Amino acid sequence: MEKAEIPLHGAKPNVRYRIVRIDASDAMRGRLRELGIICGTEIMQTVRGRGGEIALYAVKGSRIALRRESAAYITVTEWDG
Amino acid sequence: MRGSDGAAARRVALVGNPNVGKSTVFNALTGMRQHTGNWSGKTVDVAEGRYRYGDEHFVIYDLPGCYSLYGGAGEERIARDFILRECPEVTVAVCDATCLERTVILALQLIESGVNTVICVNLTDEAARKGVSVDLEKLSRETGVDCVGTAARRKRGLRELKAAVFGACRAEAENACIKCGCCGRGSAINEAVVEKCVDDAVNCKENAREREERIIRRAEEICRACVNVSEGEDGGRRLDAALDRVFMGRWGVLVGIALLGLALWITVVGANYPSEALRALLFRGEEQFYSLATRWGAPSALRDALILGVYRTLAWVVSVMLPPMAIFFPLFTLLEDFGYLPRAAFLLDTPLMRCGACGKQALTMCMGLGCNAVGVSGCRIIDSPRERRIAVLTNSFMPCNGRFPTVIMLSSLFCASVGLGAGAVSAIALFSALAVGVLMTFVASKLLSVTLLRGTPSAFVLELPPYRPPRVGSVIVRSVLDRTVFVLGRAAAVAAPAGLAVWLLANVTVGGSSLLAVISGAIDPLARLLGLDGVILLAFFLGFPANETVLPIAIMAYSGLGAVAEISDAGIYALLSANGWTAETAVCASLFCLCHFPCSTTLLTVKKETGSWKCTALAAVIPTAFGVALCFMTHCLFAVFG
Repeated sequence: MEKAEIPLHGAKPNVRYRIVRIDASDAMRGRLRELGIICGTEIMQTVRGRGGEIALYAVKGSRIALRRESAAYITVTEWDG
Repeated sequence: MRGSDGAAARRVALVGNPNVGKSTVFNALTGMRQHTGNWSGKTVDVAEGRYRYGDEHFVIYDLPGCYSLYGGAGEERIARDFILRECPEVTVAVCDATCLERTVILALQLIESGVNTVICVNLTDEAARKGVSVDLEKLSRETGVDCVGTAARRKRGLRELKAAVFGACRAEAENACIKCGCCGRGSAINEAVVEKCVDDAVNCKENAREREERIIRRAEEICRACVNVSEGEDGGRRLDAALDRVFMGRWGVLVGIALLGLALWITVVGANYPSEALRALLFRGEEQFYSLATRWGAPSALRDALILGVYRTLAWVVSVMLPPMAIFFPLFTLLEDFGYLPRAAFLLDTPLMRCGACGKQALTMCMGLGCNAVGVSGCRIIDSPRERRIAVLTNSFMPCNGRFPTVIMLSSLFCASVGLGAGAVSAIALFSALAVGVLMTFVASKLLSVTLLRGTPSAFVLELPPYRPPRVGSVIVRSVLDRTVFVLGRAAAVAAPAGLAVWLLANVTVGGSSLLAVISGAIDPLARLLGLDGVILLAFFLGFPANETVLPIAIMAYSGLGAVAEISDAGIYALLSANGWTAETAVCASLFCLCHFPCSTTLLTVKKETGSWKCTALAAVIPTAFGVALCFMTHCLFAVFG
């Protein structure tokens, strides 16, 4: 069954997702790549800030804070193991 | 570069992602005490140290953190350019055992670029706590270079690291320079060739992305093979996640306020005792010196200038200003060590974004609480030049350690004058003062971002460090000592001449009244409009080289020449009230203390960081304008309601 693709900022907390697409600008993609965030990477939202403008994500053992507008460029699907 | 015995010293560079403990490894190897802190971007310059291994001398360079050899801006280029241009014999890629998959990427990039690399997997102790272990032998086989596990905070694995570096040096010597043949140690460096090397390594734009992604996938593969996570023992990870929810979740702001409030309360209450003891001691000393000097028949002008001027100002600075500084600073360092500061940045990001600024500005604001000059140079962590400039220009709204005690004194004075006296109440007053500082930072940032520094907020990506149990003992001992030495040094350099200046101003008379009276009288009408008086306004100007001297100078000026009868807090209040101070004066002086031109050191730092006199002028004018406006409004409010 095809899993639904959603923007990262809409992810449910503490659920594992897989990144399927990153549509950000080159600079932003570069920034994310430096942090090891590319297509296929596992990512999980751990804390959502008050107001939902910013959230914390667990990626490869580190904690990355992303604003909603940046997270919107990242498309994910639920992790299938 | 020569060792002490004349043999050439080996050059070693330390690189790695931010906050993997490069500086800690550096300190452990060299025995130096480079400041370390638990957040990304701590080290902004290249530090240099030395160590010996066997008969060999090594020079080691601690480079600012960087995520990738390709791309990157500002700070990250420093590390890359250093390795590619300076060609150290060995580059130690420091990785974080708790997140090897991310941190090993840089090491793989180095190895692929032909850099002679040793991998140092640091923080193995922290990883063990989180149930993570790294198979170093396998890692070494997979990467083809020596891999050493260290726990630099506990000084573990350092011998092995030194041995591996030594081994890599010898291998390098046999290989000459694999990379580009440009660097032949000690020989003249061909700049053009280096330029080309850097270009090749960095700007192969076509396949840069593929190459990076390939390396990232390789890192994934390697880590699948080398990293073992025991599921049952990931208590550390779960604790981190739980703490994150407490500090940044729904109640995060309240928890932050409570933490800060607690730190302030400890500062206010705790400072009383040492403050009183120091005062008693130092002023007893003054009497003794005075009578001694009199007995020896020292010229009375000299005696008075040195003892009533210089010594007394020093005594005020040390007894009133030093204790709160020496208490708040370690508390703040503990929070930094623990990893709280970037969490505060997370909390403050949304309001800062609305003000057109960067979330990382919250970090530089926190550093500004310690020292504005440090806060200003810390602004380098902000990538966007526009947002960096906003952070630089607004940093002095955060009351630095030197202004804190003034605000403490003034808020307890205010509490006393309206009939409240307890420590908790003045902690609240102090907290409000701090809140005003934060609010003004927001307002000024917003104003700047819609006027002089227009632009859209840039994307914001912040990596948060793990929580680390702060090394309470060593942090307290060291930061209390460091702070004390620092304050005493500044006191000697700045407060002493200021004391002499005040004494001279008070004693040189023109037409029957002292210069002090003349000058403060001249600016008095202006000061009155701001709810202040001429003397305290003059003190703000005289305190320009060091803000911690402002209140002592004012006290000196008020007390004139006579011996101060009462040197307790009550005595200071009595002195100030006798000179016409009211609740209004206390409030306005606090506001002006929060919002006025930063000290000379900070302004020089602004000049150094921005390279622009215009910016430096703005950094002084903006807060002063805010202070003047706030004080004037307060004055009007008091006039209407008071």
